Amino acid sequence: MKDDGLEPLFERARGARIPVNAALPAGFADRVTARHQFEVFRERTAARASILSVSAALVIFAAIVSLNLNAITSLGTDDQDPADDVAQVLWDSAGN
Amino acid sequence: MAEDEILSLIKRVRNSDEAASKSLVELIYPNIIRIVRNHLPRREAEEDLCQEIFLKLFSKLHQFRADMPFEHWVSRIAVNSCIDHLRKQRIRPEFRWSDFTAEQEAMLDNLKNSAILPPERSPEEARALIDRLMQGLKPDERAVINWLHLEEKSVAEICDLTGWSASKVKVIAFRGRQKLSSIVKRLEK
Repeated sequence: MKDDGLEPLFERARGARIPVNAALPAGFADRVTARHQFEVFRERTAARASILSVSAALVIFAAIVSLNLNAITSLGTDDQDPADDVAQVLWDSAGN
Repeated sequence: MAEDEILSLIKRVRNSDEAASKSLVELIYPNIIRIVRNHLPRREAEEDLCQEIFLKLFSKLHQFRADMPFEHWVSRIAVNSCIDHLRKQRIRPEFRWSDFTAEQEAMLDNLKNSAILPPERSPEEARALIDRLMQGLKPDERAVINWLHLEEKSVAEICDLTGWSASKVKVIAFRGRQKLSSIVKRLEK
């Protein structure tokens, strides 16, 4: 690649002084720290909110399931035909 | 600062110590601004980009495993952020002879005609010309050309800095240099 005619340009450019003012701009560290803390706070709040919403959804789901279970079990006892009980009493265990 | 002191500072930052966070910013700012200035052709967004790099760095600090020097880890994040930033900009300018200064035009003339630069050509103008021409390259090509041919880093150093394989670095360098050469060849008065 060195014969592409660009080497003299690179060689000259390597001697260039790049003005690097590495001094920290005023308040930069404060701004970065504040933004970082805000991001952390936002992430934590979002995490808490999602945990809360999942827990609330679980509680509601459990409540609905338990209500339905109660309804199903109570339906089961009401639906049983009283004739079954009579038949159980009348017939002996041998089926006579 | 010794690596042990840096590690204890990182530990304090992870425990949300505000003073330690500020000290860390002060400690690594010179390294980050140097990388940003070497990779951004335009100066206006450098402070914003530095802030983004620091935020990324803080959010990834829990991933730092001390299996490489902290400075390398920081440089890798800064370099990748610069490349991402340049990708978003998508600047692929068309070059016209009139876009260059008189001295840059003279340098291009020298290169096209004799491939020799007379001693009176200034290094700063040469650097500005290369920066301008490199705007026609992809961000990763620009970064690799910069490290390899201007900062004179070795392929191994670039691999350390970016986490790329040596063959990837060589391919990017080759393509970048070819493109740069064809940009110069296509330029006509």
